[in-house]
This record gives sequence, C-alpha cells and structure tokens, in this order.
Amino acid sequence: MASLMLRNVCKSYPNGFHAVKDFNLEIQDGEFIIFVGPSGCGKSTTLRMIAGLEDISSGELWIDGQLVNFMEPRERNLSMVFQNYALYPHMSVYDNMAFGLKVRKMDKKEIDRRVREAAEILEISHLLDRKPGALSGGQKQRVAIGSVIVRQPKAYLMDEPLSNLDAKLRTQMRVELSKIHDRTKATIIYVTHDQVEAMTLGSRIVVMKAGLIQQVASPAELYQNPVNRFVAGFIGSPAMNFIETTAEVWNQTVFLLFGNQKVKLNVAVSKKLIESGYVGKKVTLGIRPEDVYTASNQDAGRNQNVGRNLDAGDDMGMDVKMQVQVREMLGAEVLLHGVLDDGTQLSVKEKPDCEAREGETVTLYFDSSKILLFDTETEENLLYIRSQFDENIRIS
Amino acid sequence: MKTSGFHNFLKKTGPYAYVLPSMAVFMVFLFYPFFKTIYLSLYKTNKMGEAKLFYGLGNYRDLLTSESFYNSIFVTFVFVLIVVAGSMLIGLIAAVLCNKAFPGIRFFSTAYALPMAIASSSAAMIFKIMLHPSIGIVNKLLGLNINWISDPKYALVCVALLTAWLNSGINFLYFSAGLSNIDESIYERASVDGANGIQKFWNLTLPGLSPIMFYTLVVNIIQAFQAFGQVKVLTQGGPGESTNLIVYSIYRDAFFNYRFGSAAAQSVLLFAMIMVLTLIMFRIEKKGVSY
Repeated sequence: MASLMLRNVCKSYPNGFHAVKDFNLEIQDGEFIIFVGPSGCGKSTTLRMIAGLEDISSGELWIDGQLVNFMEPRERNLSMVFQNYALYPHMSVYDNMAFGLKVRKMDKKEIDRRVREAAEILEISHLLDRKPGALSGGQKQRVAIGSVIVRQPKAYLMDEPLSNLDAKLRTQMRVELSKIHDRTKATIIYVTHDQVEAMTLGSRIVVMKAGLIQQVASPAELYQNPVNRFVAGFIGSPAMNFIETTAEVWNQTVFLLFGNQKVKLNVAVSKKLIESGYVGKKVTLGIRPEDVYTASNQDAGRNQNVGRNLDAGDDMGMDVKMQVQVREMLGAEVLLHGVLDDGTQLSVKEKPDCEAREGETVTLYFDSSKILLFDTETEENLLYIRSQFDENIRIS
Repeated sequence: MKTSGFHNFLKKTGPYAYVLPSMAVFMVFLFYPFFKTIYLSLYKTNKMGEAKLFYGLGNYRDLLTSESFYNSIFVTFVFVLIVVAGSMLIGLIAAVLCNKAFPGIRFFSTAYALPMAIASSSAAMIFKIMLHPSIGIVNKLLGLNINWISDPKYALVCVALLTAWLNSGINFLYFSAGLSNIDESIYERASVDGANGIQKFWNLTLPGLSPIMFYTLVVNIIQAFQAFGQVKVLTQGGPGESTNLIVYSIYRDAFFNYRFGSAAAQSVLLFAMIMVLTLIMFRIEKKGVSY
C-alpha cells in the first residue's frame, strides 16, 4: 500500500472549463479517504487523474515519493472500481477477477490462489463460472471489488461504487467495504455524492464544490465544525437549517433578529460576534434539525444536554414559532417541516411521541450551544475552530 | 351468427393479407426462378432456354466429371478466402482506427465507407487502368513490369483484392457499429488493470465484436461467392480459366454456350454449397461467439 500526494493539481478543458482547481492533499498509507460533493464538483475527475485516465493539466501527483504525472495508468499499479462496475461481459467471474493478474503474466497457481481467496472473502465462490450478465447488481458489485482486491495494488480507487445498488444492499455493502478496509489495511480513495456513505466509511473526508476543496476533516469534525455554509448544509441529513438574521446587542448579549422573532446567543458567542464587529450586520444562523426542540419536548432536550452544553441559567435561547406543514414519521423519529413567520423553511427532528400535526403552530427552542453562525456574504463559519488540515487548503 | 363467423374468418386471414404484397414480390423474383432453375437443371435446353429433353441428373453427372467445373470451384474457394479475409481485415483495421475521436475523422470515415457506394464494374474499370502494364500507377509506384491482369499468377489475386476493397466499406460500417456497442469503461478498467493496447484488442475488442463479426463473416462469404461484375469487366474469366469463378462460369454457360441446363445445375450446386457452409457456420457460432 502507498501514500499519495497531490500538489496544486488542476484540470482544465480546451473549452476553458476548470473542473478541478488547485487541489492539494496528502493521503497517508492505509487511509480510507472520501471525496464528496454535489455532481459536477470535480471529485470523479480528480480520481480519474489519480488513475491516469485523465491528464493532469497542471500540478503534481506523487505516489510513494514518485512523480507519476506522465505514467500510463497501467504503470501506476492502482486499481479501480467503476460506477457501472465495468465487468468484461464475455469473461466469467473468475476471468474477470484474474484479468489484471493475467495481463501482468503472474504465475497461474498464484492467480488461482488469490482469486479463490478473494471470492471466499466476498462470498462469491459459487459464482466463479458465471458470466456478468447472469449476476445481480450486488453480485456484480462484489466481483468488481474482488477484481480490485486480487491485484493487491498500491491503492484502491472507487468511483461511486454503490450508487447503482438499492438502499438495503447499499447499507450491506457499506459494512462489507468497511470490513475489507480493516482486513486489507488498503489505501482507499472513494468518490461519492452520498454524504451518508462519506460519513460512515471515511477516515477523512474531502468536501468539494465547483472544483475546489472546501474542507478536509474527519467525519465528526466535519459535522461539528464545518468551515462554511456549504459544508454545513451538505453534511448531515436532513440538512442544517439556515435563517437569515440581523445581529443586535443588548447588555453585552447578542440577539439574532428575523421576522418578528429573535434568538439569544450565549455569552461566549456573543463576545466573539461583538469582537468581530458583526453587531448590526447580516448573519446566517445555522442549526441542525436535531438541535431544535418543540415546546413539549423541550424538557427532554434540556435534560439530554444538562451539564454538557447548557448552563441552567440559559433557557436554550428564545422561543420561535413555526407553522408545521409536513410531518414525516420515520419510525424512530419524526421530522417536522414548517415555515417561520419570515417565510424561512425549517426542519425539526423530534421523538416519535411529538404530537405536533400539520397546520399547527409550534414553539421551538434552539440549543444555543449548537448554533453556528455564518457570514451572510462570504458564507464562512464565524465560529470555525482552525485545525491541522487547514494548512494545505484554500477556501473559496 | 353469420357476422361472427365472418369476423372469425377475417381475424384468421387478416395477417396473411399483410404478408401478401411482399410474398408476391418474392414469388416472382425468388421462388419462381429458384424452382425453375431446379427444373431446368434436369433438362437439355434449346437456345431460347426452353426445356426440351429430359436429362435427369445428367447435367450434374457431366459437371462432376468436368475438370473445368472443379477448376471453377477451386478458383472460387481461393477467391472467397482472399476476399473474406481481406475485406474483413481492412474493415476491422479502419473501424478500430476511426473509433477514437481525432480531427478529420469524418473525412476518414467517409473514405473508408466509400467503397460501399462504388459499383463493382466502375471500380473494375478504374483498377483496369491502375493495373495497366505500361501506363498503370501500380507498376509505376512499385517499379515493376508485371502484366497483372493477363498473367494467370496474378489475375485472381488482383480481382480478389479489388473485391476485398469493395466489400470492406460495408464491413467498416458493421465493425464501427459493433465497436460503438462496447462499453468504453471496460477499456478504462483494463488500462488501470495493467493491459496494454494489444492485450486490450485481443481480450476486449475482438470478443466484444464477435457477434457482429460472425454476422459479417456469413454475409461476406455469401457476397464473395456471388462476385461477378468485376470478373466480367476485368478478366472475363481468363487468362485461361484462372479467374473463372463459378458465377462467371454459370453466366458463360448460359449466355455464351446456351447450355442453360448445365448453368442451372451449377446454380443449384452453388446454392447447396453456400447453404451447407452457412449451416456449418451457424453450428460453430453457438460455440464460438460470446455475447
């Protein structure tokens, strides 16, 4: 397995379109790194540049200390799982898995041993004689992963490998992939647009937008400390709520005003806002649906957070009124989607015993310790805590 | 009751009515001549091609004891071999070359497909000039002094290569269509897997083309057996009998020697040969073609 380094990597096309801009990243040996972002953000292009399927317009790609910009894909000793699996349709499962070894003229006995071992791990030993046409989606997926494992390359590249599977199978394969990573200790670079996959699989996540890296961080870090509004909104499901507000100060406490309502900020945050000169300015409030409580469940929410985030004197901010438009019962939880008096859409994640119904107006409490604040113009997180990864990254 | 009976009748016969027009065309131009040929092959005919004297299998017996007929068959098989191999190879190479996007691809695609649109007789006329021993460009370019068409050693190869080029146009189209059906991502996977260009061609392109390859092979063989125009214009079966392909031999027997019975018998044998070959190929197809 190997470590990779991308330095100022750019991809531009003859028509002037810049797919990837100034990509800087170091990938450690054995890391499971995820490129995530909306479609067209350049994540697949970056992966294809690493594989050698796309030329690097400028910048450097180093694998194990060797500059590989001008190496053919076959010389880079990587292997890749494609979105559509790219199985060779006329070859049996066995030959599909063995192909990468056969073209490298490996000893037949060794090929056989590796293929059977991989088939065992992936539980596809009984399918070895079948052609890809006779396999289900999940089986094809396993064969594609098997073909990657047998090679024992420097790194596994995976381009949205689970996107063609149904939800149940996707969850199952996600677990399998985690196990494979634990077992092989392989360096894996994994592209997905699905933030759930990103959060569950990755040891580090690279969030991209319009060809630029937004943030590189561990899943927990990304969730709790997003660098800007885009990352905050992209990571987490349902997405974070955003409310456009104006900051006003009374007695050294900052209130965020929107419509006829207001939210009080805690002392530390208030101080930070006053110091940064945001008083009287536009600020975007961000709060995750699980950090908003309806009136009846306020106590439950408070109890959960006592001693952790809230001091007893803090009443979780001021109350906010929301008219419930849609109530989604998900079993273990209830999602309430509604609208505030200034027209802002809001989602709330509640316990299933929450009694709010469509059409009702409910009182909401925001957990003030979980509130994030973004500069409305630059969209930067005003409460962002800088980390070690920020050295290499340029924020848009 | 009566109406429903009529309805039933319409329902049953309706489908046949749709087939009728094309059936009529087939009857006049295919089935009637086919059976008439079999009928004629059993007779001796007059100069007008009318059956006059029942000869039984005599025409066939005469053919099977005739050295000229065996020569025709031999020449035809050599011809078919060169034409099929040549035309498929040219078509395949051209299609593989044009499978990548590059500036001027339209020009090259048109050039490679063009032979399809050229009449065999006019192509033969052009080749006749090109192969002319004193003024032809072939001798000029190669610095040789060969009488290509009048030399029994070269005449058959010349006609066969001309036919191969003529047939390559449609093969180019078939193969291009076949190549565009191969998923591009398997080539990408093969590149990452470590395969070089030649390995990709043998392991991915050829198997991927095998269904269309088989179809092209069958069509090409049948087409090659039926070559006529270029022989008529270029060599008239000569020199000697070195390019006397079976179709040309049929033409000569019927319209020069007025032996319609013998010509009909040769036609029937040609039909039998092509049919047997096609059947054999379909048998092999089941084993060799991967989908």
